[in-house]
Amino acid sequence: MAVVELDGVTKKFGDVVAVDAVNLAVNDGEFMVFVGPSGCGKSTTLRMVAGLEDTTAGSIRIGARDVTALQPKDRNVAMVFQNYALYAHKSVYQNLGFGLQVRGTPKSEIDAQVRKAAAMLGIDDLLDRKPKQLSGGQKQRVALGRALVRDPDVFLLDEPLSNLDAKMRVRMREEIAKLHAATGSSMIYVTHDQIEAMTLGDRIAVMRDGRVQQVGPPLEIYDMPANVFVASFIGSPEMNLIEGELRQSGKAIKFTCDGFSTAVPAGIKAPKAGSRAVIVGIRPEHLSYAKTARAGFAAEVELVEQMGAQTLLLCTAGSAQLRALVERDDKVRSGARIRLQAAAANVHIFDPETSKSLLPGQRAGGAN
Amino acid sequence: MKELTLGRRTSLYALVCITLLYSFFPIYWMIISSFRDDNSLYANFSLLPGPFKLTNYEVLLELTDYPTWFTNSVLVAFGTVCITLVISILIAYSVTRLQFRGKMAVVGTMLYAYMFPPMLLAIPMFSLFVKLGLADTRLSLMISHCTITLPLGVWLLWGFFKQIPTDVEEAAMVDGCSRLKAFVLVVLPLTLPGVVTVAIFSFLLSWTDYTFALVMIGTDSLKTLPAGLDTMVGTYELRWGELMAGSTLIALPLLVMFMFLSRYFIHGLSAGAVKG
Repeated sequence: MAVVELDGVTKKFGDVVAVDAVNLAVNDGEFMVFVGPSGCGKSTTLRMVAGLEDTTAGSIRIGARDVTALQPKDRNVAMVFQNYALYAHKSVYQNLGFGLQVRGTPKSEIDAQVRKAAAMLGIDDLLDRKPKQLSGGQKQRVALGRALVRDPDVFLLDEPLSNLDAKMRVRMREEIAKLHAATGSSMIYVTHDQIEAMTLGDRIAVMRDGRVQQVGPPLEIYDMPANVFVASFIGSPEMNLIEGELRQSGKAIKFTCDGFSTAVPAGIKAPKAGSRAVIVGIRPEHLSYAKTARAGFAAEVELVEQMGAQTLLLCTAGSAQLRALVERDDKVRSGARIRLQAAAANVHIFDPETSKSLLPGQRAGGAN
Repeated sequence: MKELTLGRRTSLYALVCITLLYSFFPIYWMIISSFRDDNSLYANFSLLPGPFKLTNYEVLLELTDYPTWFTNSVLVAFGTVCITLVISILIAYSVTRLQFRGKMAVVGTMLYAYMFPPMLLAIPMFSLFVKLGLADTRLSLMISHCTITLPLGVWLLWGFFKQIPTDVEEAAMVDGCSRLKAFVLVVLPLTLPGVVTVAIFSFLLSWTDYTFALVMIGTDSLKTLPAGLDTMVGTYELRWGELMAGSTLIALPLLVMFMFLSRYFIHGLSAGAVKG
């Protein structure tokens, strides 16, 4: 268990900057998730922590040690790979014990550790099998177990669930969360799946183009996205983003675009020149049917998706396309004219040029 | 798979039998002839085995240099296998794992050497060995065998190493291995069929080579089996009995080797063929 600190960590492949001066601290015992679209540098960052990639610039500390120049074997980290990366010629038992064996641990201790990890993961009856005799879920358990037996300073998990089917993914997600609770180790988890990030992370680092966009607890990122990218990446279905302008109307400030206008949260500064261009963001789940015939704005339903507990409506209001996730509605059909509204507190406002949030109290730009 | 009709199955078996007969009759004839004395060899011979006599073997082992040639063959073959394995594993591995300028050129040029017939290579190589003071040594023969076995080894192993996912190696390095240790403990065991295939091929090539042995070695006591046996074919007499006994003994180690290693060999060849 240890603190992991990245200080200006940069990775270049030729002229391509894969990771651009990342500063980040993972606290002792924290579950940190790197999330972002493919090619955002999250895996490269993780691999630099593991020592599998050299850093072009910057330094990495694990606990009290500067590990930037150390070989992977000397860093005392454990890693779980996307493709499991099990040793095909070794039994499950040997796979689990390999890390201890190469470090010269006595046999009796290896045996104790292997059996403890196997029991924890429920794979004690598979110890004699070879990897090819295992299912995907079992392989991933073995891969987790291999990390577990070593008692490393930090666990690194590189998209460990992406090769599993949807059901198994949910189960393993729960198991990883339990495992983290049981071991209390620091973990860094890389994923492109924002649901995994939201459910697992103590904190999330959202990355894009090699830069950290925002770091924070999942709900903070959901409630207060620092920029347009984070806003659209975190949350499902995706946030509605509409270009328009802020206008002073009487005492209130309102957002107006071709199709509708809506109130904005308190604290937004009045535009100096009477109006200013902005991007507004409203999550589908924050749009609901207007309570009265005069509240909210009119929209036409184009498509209805029944999701069980909720109904997803694809609507148009003027030239704006909006998705609204409302409570289950059996009657609504495409072509219906409805009125939608959003609470002012749930409306996000972004600067169209910098794409950063204009809401006060926002740590715009995240850690960078 | 579709069930074959009786007619088709019968003709398939017939075809297999004809192929087997064609391939194995010379071997069968070699073995039974090696046990016959001159009378049954030249005059009253039959297609069935027998009579069994060991005279040819006794003459071969006691009156000729056969044991010396055998030793030479073993030394040269094992030397070739060792050199081939070490160098081709190193080259194939670095070509698949490391980034360096012109690495494809390395693999490409190796294949060029493979295109020349042995005779074409043998003569210039011999003059080179003369200059280097290596002419007429077993080492020169090993080196010349490597001109054929190395390209083959590199190409075969290249296919194998490409198949091994890099993250298995990385897992081993994170688990506490250096690159070399990860290679020896994880990559090498996984490519064992390929390594065995290369070893068998090199052994086979070196063991049965006649062309290079004829050119490179002049001294009788340094000759390998195929070249040594050739000296027994005199101008005025053909000692068929002893020749057959000698040939049988050349084939024997190969048979034993294939019996034990064919599992790896077949796997190695098919894996290399599909994914290489």
